[in-house]
Amino acid sequence: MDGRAQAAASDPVLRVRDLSVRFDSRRNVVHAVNGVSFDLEVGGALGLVGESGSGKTVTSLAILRLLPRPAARIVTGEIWLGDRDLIRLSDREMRRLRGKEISLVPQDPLSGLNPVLTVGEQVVETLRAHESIRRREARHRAAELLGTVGIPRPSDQLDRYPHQFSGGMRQRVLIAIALALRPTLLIADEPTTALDVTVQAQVLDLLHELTAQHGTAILLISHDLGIMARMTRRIMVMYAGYVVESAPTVEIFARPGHPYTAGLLQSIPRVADAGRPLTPIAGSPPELDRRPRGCPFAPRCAWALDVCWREMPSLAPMGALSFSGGPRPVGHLLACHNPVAADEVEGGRPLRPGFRPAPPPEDGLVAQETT
Amino acid sequence: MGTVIARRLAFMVFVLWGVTLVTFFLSRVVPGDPARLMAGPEASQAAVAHIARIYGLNDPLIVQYGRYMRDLIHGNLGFSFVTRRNVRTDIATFLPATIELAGYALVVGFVLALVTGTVAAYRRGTATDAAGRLTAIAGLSLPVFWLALLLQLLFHTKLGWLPLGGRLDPAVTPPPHLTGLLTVDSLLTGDFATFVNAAEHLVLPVVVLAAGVYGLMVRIMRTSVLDSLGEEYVRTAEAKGLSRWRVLRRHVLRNAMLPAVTVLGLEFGLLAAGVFVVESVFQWPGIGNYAFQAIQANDYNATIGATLVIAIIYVVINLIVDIAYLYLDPRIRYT
Amino acid sequence: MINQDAVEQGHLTRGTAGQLRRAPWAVQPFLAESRLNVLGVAIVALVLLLALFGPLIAPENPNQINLLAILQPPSVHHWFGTDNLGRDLFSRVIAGTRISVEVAVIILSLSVTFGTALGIVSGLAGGLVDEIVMRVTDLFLAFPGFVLAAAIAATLGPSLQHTVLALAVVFWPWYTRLIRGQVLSLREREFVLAARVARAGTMWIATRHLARNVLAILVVQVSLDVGYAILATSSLSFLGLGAQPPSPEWGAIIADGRSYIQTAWWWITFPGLVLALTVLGFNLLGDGLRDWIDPRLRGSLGGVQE
Repeated sequence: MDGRAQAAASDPVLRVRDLSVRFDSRRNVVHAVNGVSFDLEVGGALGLVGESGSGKTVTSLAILRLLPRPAARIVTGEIWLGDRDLIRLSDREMRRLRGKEISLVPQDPLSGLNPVLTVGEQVVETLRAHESIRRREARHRAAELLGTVGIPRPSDQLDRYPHQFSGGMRQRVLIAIALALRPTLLIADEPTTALDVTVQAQVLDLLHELTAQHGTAILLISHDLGIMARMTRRIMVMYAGYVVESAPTVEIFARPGHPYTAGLLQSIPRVADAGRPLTPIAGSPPELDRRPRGCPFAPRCAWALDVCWREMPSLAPMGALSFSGGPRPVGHLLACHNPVAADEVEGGRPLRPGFRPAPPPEDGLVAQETT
Repeated sequence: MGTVIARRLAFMVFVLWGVTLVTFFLSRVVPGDPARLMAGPEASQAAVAHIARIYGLNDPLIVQYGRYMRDLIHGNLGFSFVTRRNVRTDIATFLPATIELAGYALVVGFVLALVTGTVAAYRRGTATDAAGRLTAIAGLSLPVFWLALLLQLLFHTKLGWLPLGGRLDPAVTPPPHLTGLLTVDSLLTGDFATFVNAAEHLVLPVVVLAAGVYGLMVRIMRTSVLDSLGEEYVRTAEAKGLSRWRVLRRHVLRNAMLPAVTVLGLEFGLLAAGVFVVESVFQWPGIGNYAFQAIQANDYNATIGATLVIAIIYVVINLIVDIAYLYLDPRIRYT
Repeated sequence: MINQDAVEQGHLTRGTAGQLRRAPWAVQPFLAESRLNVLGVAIVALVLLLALFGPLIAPENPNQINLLAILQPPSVHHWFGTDNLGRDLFSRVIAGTRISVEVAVIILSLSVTFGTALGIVSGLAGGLVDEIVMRVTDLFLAFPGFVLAAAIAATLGPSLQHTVLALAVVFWPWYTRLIRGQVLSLREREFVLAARVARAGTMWIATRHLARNVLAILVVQVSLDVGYAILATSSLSFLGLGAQPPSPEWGAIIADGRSYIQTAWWWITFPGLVLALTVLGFNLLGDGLRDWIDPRLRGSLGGVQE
């Protein structure tokens, strides 16, 4: 698996550099995304994980250039799809890409489909928006597409309405729409959150199979690390709009470096751990209208040092830092002053004797910018 | 679905019955002698007694009600002493004029509200939005009769651009009676000059009536467009690469119209109210004016007859709107 | 993001469906919300002042006939001009303000009291009583309001009192329906509360909850309805069904001036303007209150928060 990934890594299908997105409202300014950079290779599978407010959805919307218009602004950054910087493209050019080169599987299958149009109409619409084909042919293809996503008797289903389908079926329709034109990049935003657990696995498998088949790169967004394990080769952890850790999936699960990642792992219920209490991450996501002076995770971090409150750690390869245990593999990026040691991963708490997380200084979290 | 419609129909029947009851009640519970009022203030004592006998006004109320209902079912609304005709004939004569007026007002108001509401939703929070809100409130606040008089003053008295009232200039011959709607009839018979004349006469009354329609509808449009815009499927549609116009038309508006339809019933209520005043000011020969003249002249049968007809139309239209809504929303149509 | 201060000061409550509501009496933030709110409050305040202190402010007796000064255009002596009997229109309009406010107060007192009481009874009683009340309410609502009021006023005989009664009859069903709805949705929650903790304190809180929510909605509806009541009264008076001459009710004044529209444009213009502004003010107030009380948190971020 890794070999194939490396061979295709020569020309990433998506390159994001230093992306920052800002929301301006009457009352305040929210820095939703701060300096995010990553690559996604052809046919690759990257996961973006984080809680609400982490900036993961905003990042995906920025790539699609679908941010709510007067409110949101891309402040800095470049988004390269192949040899085009998406941020520089005009609306019209962007529209031509959407649905065809980049597509989206949205979060909520119930509201993701227009309730007053038939399922068939919504698939046909996608096809005819980018290709000039006759309605009859489009319907034919639409039925085919519905078939590939596992909808039984697809030609009959074309004229039914979304509410007549189950959640899982609706999500399949959305996947069919997203993959209709064989895009190079597919963005899946919480594709299974609204579904039953039993259905989740099916939908994920379908996604995996189809993207592999077409060679589509997938950017999977979720707060659920569990589905990342199935689907992705690399995971990026986001917090408060910053990338705090980025590593191959295996690494994230086996040897996470950031305390937040460790926390996320801890809060996944595992059957093997039945009976043991879950360790949630204390506290709640930060309010995004204040820019932290130091690391945004400091208030909730059990590993916090004084420097964490004062200085924002930069994203750097983990090879350079090591607390206990040997050298870390290449390709593992981390933004942390005081990473988790290998033996601390299991317990989710620091194991250093006498260590207490540093308390906030008087001017810990400060609003550095007003509207 | 079938049961829902059946229930609505049953309710409508109940309401219609109630309407007749109320109007009957109104027509009999009058200070003074109903016979005298029906005969008119000029009538002699003998005429009054005659009327009382014919209409059986001395019979017990129940009997009178029964007779009233029987008459109604046969379409007999009594006799108007002012016009010296059956009220039913009068109403048939005057109704088309009101339909023409109210119809145009509804269309104009609705279209304006649609456009303004959509623009306001897209430009939410800006000055355009606030301006939209202000015009909406103005539309609802401006007294209809005052607006009518002002426009008359401005566009006829001061500027002379538009006629004072009526449907046509006295010199113009009306087109043959096909629908009773002068604009339609004149177009159908190819009489363009008459069409223009009829249209000129329609401008002011339609504008006045449309203001109320607009005021009610525009805020609802704005809200429902905003709701629509916030829905996930709009983003899905955009992510498909559809043009903004397509997204607007097929996704945003189609959903936003649904709540707007529910308000149509209320709109008719507004129109019914406005029609009285507007027809009176512009001397428009419609039902509103007829009813108003009847009230002035204490023509009882005409007043009650007109009220009844207006109420019945209102109820029926509300029912149609309700049922239409059930059909328009596929979530309800195919449950 | 809920402002904790606002919650503590009682400015924020939860409605019967759990949605957030702001208190209508939190004046300062309400005024800060929008300039239109300020305008609405200003107009309403002015109108109420005129209604209260009208006779003291008016330069002349509104019914004072002065045949030497008939049909005078607006001037320093007569800000709104005079009518065909030489009466000062400015004074008449001010007197009309008092009439309009009084009328609106009476109409709304009657309809709100009756409608609310009926709504509460219907909501609490349930069953057959509720069914009957709702059918009757629906029946009244099935009539186009203005037409019904006109018919009633015409039947009883044109006068201001009869118009007031007629409009009260038209308005009450709305309140019944509104209040009943609130009572019903709260009744469900109350059962839940009562089931969990059977303490007198909880009932008291629940009732206070009901009162606060209902009050907020009532305030909004009433401020809107004042405008409509004044508008309807004037319209009916204009048609001759309401206030009769020589009453200085706005609609009646305009009706009188109608025949003189070509020669004395000020006669209909100024009273109508005052009427329009008054209704506008109440509508702005009611509208602003409605937006204020149910803040839509969808606002600033456009719905995306990740």
